[in-house]
Parts: sequence; C-alpha cells; structure tokens
Amino acid sequence: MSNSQPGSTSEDRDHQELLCRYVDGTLPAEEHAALQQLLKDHPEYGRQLFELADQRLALCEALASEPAKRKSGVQHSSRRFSARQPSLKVANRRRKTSWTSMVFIVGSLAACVVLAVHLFTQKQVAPASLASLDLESAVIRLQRGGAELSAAPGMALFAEDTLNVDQGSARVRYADGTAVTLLPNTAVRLVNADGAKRLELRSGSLKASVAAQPIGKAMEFSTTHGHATVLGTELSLAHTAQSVWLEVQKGKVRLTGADNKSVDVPEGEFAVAGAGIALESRRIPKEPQNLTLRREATASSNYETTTSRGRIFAATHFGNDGDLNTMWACQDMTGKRAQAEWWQVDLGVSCLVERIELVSRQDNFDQPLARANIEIRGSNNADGSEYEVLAKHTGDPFPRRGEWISAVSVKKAFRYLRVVQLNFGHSGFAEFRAFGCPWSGVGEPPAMRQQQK
Amino acid sequence: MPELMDDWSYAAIEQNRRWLSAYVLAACGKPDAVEDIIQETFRIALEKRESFQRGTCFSAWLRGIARNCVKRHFESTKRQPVLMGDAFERMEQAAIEATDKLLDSEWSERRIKALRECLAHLTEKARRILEDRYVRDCSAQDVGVQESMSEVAVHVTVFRARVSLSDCLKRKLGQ
Repeated sequence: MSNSQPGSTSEDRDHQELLCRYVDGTLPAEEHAALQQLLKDHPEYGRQLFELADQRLALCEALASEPAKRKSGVQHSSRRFSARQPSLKVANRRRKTSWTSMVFIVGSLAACVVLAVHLFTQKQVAPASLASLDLESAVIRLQRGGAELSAAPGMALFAEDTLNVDQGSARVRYADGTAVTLLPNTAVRLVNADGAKRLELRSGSLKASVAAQPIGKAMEFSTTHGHATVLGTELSLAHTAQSVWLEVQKGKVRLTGADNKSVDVPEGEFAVAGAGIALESRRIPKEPQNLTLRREATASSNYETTTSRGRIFAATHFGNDGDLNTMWACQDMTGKRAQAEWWQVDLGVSCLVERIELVSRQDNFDQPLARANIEIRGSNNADGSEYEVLAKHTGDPFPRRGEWISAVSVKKAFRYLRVVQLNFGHSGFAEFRAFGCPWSGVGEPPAMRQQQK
Repeated sequence: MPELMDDWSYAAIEQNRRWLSAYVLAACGKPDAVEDIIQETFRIALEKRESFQRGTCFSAWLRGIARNCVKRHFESTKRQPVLMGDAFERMEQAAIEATDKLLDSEWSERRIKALRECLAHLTEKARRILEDRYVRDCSAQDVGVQESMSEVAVHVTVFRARVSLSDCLKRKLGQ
C-alpha cells in the first residue's frame, strides 16, 4: 500500500475515490477488502470518511432545494424548525424550573384531577380539537354530528368532522406543524386514534407535509383501497374509483393495500394500490416517457409467425417491444373483416398521454391500408369500453416505413390504450409508442418537463 | 412529568439527527440503511432515556447507541465492517469535532447556500447526474443509460463533481 498521506497526489485521489464510492454505497463488495487494508494502513482516512459522508448529506439537501424545488425545500426547512421549537422551549423551561413553576405545575395537575373527576361523574367529555382549518378561497362543507356547519378560517376541527372541498383548496393544520392541503373535489374525515393522526380520504386528492411523528404514532391516511403510513415526510395522495395513488416528495411512506400487502415508497417515487394493479414503488418520471414499452398487449387477432419475411416477425407483444424489425399484424393479411381489428396495451396504471407515435412496418411488404384511418382510444376498462378518442388519422396513408405522430390534447388519465383500424381492413404496425407519465386522474396533472431532444 | 420528558427527549434527538446520520453513513457505508439505523437508534434512545445521566454528554450517549445499532446492522446483513480500529476512532473523532457545527442551524444554512452557489458552477450534465444519484437515488447503471455513458464514467463524473464542490466550498467558507 502507499505511504502517501491525504493530500493531492494522484494516488490520494484514487484513495479518495474509493472512500467516496464507499459512502455512496457503490463500492463493489470485492473492493471492500482493499479499502479495509487502506484504512488499516492509513487510519487518517477515517476522518475523511466522516467528512465525505457529511458532504454527501449536505449535497443531498442542497440539490433537493435547488431552484426548481427551492420553494418547497425552504418551506419544509422552516416547517421543520418551527415544529421543533416548541419542544426546545419545553427543554429550556425544564432546566429553569423554579418554585413558582413547580407551584404552577402542581396547581395545574390538581385542577386537571378535579376537572377529570367532574367530567367523569358528569359522563361528559369535552372533545379536544385535533387541528384547525385554513381556507384558501375554498368552497367547503363541514359536517359535524350530522349537522352541516359553515366553515370559517382558523376554526377548530374535531374527530369525526367531515370536510368536503367543492372548490378551491383548504388546509388542515395540526399543532406540530403538520399540514394537509385538500385539493378541489376532495372529502376527508378526521379520526383520532389514541393520539395518532388519522385522516380518511374518501374521495379526491391531498398533499401533506408531515412533521416527524412520535414513535408508534405514525400518521396514517386511509382509503377503501389501502392506507399510507407516514413518519415524517411530504407526500401527495389521490383517491380514485379504482385505486389510491401515493407520491412521496420527501421521506419514506409505507403503502398498504386492501389485501394487506405493503410497499415502502421512498422519496421521488410513487405507488398505486387497487384491484388488479401491481403494488410496487415506481420512480416519478421527470419528463414524459414511453409508457407502452414492453407492457402487456392484447389484440383482436394475431398473425403469429416464426418465419421471416425480410426479417420481420409478427406477434402481439412485438407491437411494443422497442424493436422495429418486429411487428404486430392481424390474422388475415387481406380482405375486409366483419369487425375493426385492434391492438391494445395495458399501461399498468392510469397515465396522462401527451403524444402518440405509430411506426409502420419497416420491411419491403407494403400495406397502405394499415397506414390510414386509425383511431387511438384511451379507456380505464380492460375491454376497452367507455373510451375516449385520443388521436385519429384520416385521409391518405402516412408514409411507407414512416410514422404517424400526434399530440394528445385530452387531459384525462387512461390505463388501456387501443389502436383501432377504422376501415375494417388489414391492421398492423412495427411499434406503438405513447409518451406521457403516470397520473391518478385526480387533482392536478403531474408537472412534466418538456422532453429534451 | 413524563410528557415533558418525552418532549425534551424528542427535541434533543431531532436536533442530533443530522450529525448522527453522517456518523452512521461513514460507519456503515450504506446510504439506504442509514434511515433504518437512525430510527432504531432513536427508538432505543427513547426507550432507555432514563439511563441517560444528566450532566454527561448527550451526543456521546447517542453515539454509543448508534455504534451498537451499526454493529447489529452488520451482524444481521452478514457483512464485514470496513471501518475498524484506529480508522474508526479517527472517524469518530471527526464526528465529535463536527457535532457542534452541525447543531448550529445558521452555519448549516450558510453551508447549504454556499453549496448551491458551487453547484451552479458545475456543468448542466454533472448537476443532472448528481441529482439523479443523490436526490432520485438512481443507480449509476440507470444514470449511465439515461446519459449514454458507461457506469464507470458516471462514477468518475460524480467523484470529480464532488472534488470540485469540496474545493469550492472550502474557498467560500474560508476553511
């Protein structure tokens, strides 16, 4: 091993790179022995390991609050400190406990005991408020004990209160700094579960910034499709007819489905719980991505062949395999059909589609009919029913070995996309792509960057 | 007054989260395990809060618990610790020296501000790679695919960017 001290030699740089990769968790296991030896020979690198670990955390903080996200980062930071301060004040008070405060504490305790006895004997317990309400130009209905009350800014909220936000947005604030923003068309019910915060999301969507919660009293958002357990984080939750969507902006949240299966969703990822949806943590895309690539596909019929014609192979799943040398084609290559041929892809979860691309077959076999009169439909039913037309091609066929690209203006979320041949003729293509991003369809559409070319 | 004690404990523990995270990361070398180890450390600290002796160093007490949690992490994952003996002590000494600074929120904010300014001097690509690696937690392989680079090139870019940021930070903070 080298005798060099931490400095600026190239050998030292190599050592530092080794240390850097160690704290990044990317040093292969087979290089651990080398690092172990290096640290044994040069224990002074131990100090650098701490500095690199500290730098890494600082870098994460700085990057997470970069200009694009600065607003939320700063807000989170101030929230965190404001959430801590009350506790710190308690600590200071405790150190400075004097006889007057002792008298006050004893007096308060006595008063509490008298009050408790009184309440117990009266069998009436005054409910404690759980949170307060901020109205942000919201039209809101507050139901309490079967009665509908007019909501006012700053009003106290109690367990079993139900809030319906018809327009605008409203914020539920808890004493520890936790804030839950209810977006338009959202209904929630406040629940008190032995001091732990519980919110039942009945419909719509919300965003939450949750202060660190006491151990064993994690905040929980429940829906009919599953529940999300939070220790301290920022998240968005959307409740749809089929599923509940969780997006984690900061921290880590556990999402548990109705079948009690759960998944931990880290920062920058999302998960969806609902019947027929794989419960898994997925990355929130920062820009539109090809949603169809290698997703499960079905078709009205299929021209399956293992022989090639100009190296083209046909099968249903070749319509979105990312390979232009393969294709999907309907069973009968010629003639008119009794029904429109179609090919459908299941995106796994509902998505907002911004653009579609249909690429025609790339070999020498020309089928103009397959390059015209096509409709792209979006649906949330596997049978393609209750669809909306996302794009339509009419008129002359698009170019041979070319592609048809169309922007999609429908701002709704769909799980199934169907390519339909309208002229009841032959249908087939090399590749179908749809660009967009996963979206619950409730609340604001996800912010997507312009695709960089 | 157990409730006051709880508040005091939570506040003290939360205050110490930042430096403790760096300590645990340096000790275990697994960023994705840090949060679990910290949670476990806090859980034990709260459970054993009565054993903390007033007048003694709180951060040293917390560090002792964290050290045991890291040890248990290595045992449960059947991994050999890389940082041991004299090197571990040097790392611990660096943590002790840095604790006061990391507890100072003004200093921490000044450093983050300086770091943001330093980040602005990096190339767009380097910044994007750092973001992917450290904020979105993407693997070097995934970043490589996205940026049309080899995995090794991603590691090299990250390392160079970090060296550059470190130098820049030293200049800005006058260290």
